[in-house]
Amino acid sequence: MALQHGVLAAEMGMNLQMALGWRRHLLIHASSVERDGRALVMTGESGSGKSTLAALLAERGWRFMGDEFALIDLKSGAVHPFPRLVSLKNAAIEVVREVVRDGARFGPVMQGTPKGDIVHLVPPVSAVQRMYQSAEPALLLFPRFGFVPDLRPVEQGEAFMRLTQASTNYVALGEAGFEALHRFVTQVPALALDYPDSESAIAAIEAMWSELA
Amino acid sequence: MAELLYCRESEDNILERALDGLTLLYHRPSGTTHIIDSPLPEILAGLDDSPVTLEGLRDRLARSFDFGEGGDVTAELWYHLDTLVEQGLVWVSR
Repeated sequence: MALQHGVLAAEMGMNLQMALGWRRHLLIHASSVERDGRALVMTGESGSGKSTLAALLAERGWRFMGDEFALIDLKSGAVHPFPRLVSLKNAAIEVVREVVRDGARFGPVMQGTPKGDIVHLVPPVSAVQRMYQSAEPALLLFPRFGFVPDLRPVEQGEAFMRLTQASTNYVALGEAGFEALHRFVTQVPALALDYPDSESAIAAIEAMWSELA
Repeated sequence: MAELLYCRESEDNILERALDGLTLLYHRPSGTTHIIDSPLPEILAGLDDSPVTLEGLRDRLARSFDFGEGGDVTAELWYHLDTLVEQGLVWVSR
């Protein structure tokens, strides 16, 4: 990896260390935000928009909990925060710059990485101050950027399958991971959200959150 | 040639949970998770620790389920048992 991509290398190293070494929680490759003590967990492949949506929601009254890993407590099922730098890629960089006006919160632009252009965003101070406060998961979302708007429920079987694939330590945790994931998918409603732009996604999230309340 | 005998993997080795209409199984010896759908849960429920022949299992299941008209129930049962044996959820012997 090129020297100018050193920050990305550090991020990837930290992710790898978490993914391979952490055993205290079930790790889901997901972003998460919290409001009123309840967490919204968003998971999807790279480019789905989970980091962007978490960063934008954090500027609209939600608490940013993390953009890379959702840490699921093996006993209680609560989501534990991991509010490190937000990794913004390509078009998402400008989308977030338009909302976050404080330029000091953005790191240098790393161009031409294997994932395209990348900029890191410092999370809100309050997110770091509250990094020891977990939240009950209230909704699991599978966002997908670049599609016509659509919202559909995801059945438990599909959610379970997709989360085993999105977890970096499900197999390593064995029975404890099985029980934690079963509890999660049977207690947390799951929806798949297709969206063409972040504004429509946020509007849809706010609407579904109001319905859950 | 001796008939094949089937019995279920020890209950101590399998953790079973419901998932919508599906059944979720965690196989402790292998650490493998299985999501199974009907008729596999019903076939597993028809087995226990005592070895039973294919015909014996079919008769046992027939007491609880209507197989309907037509179709080769024995062949279908054999196919599903073969799958369960491959997954380590059912043991087969002669």
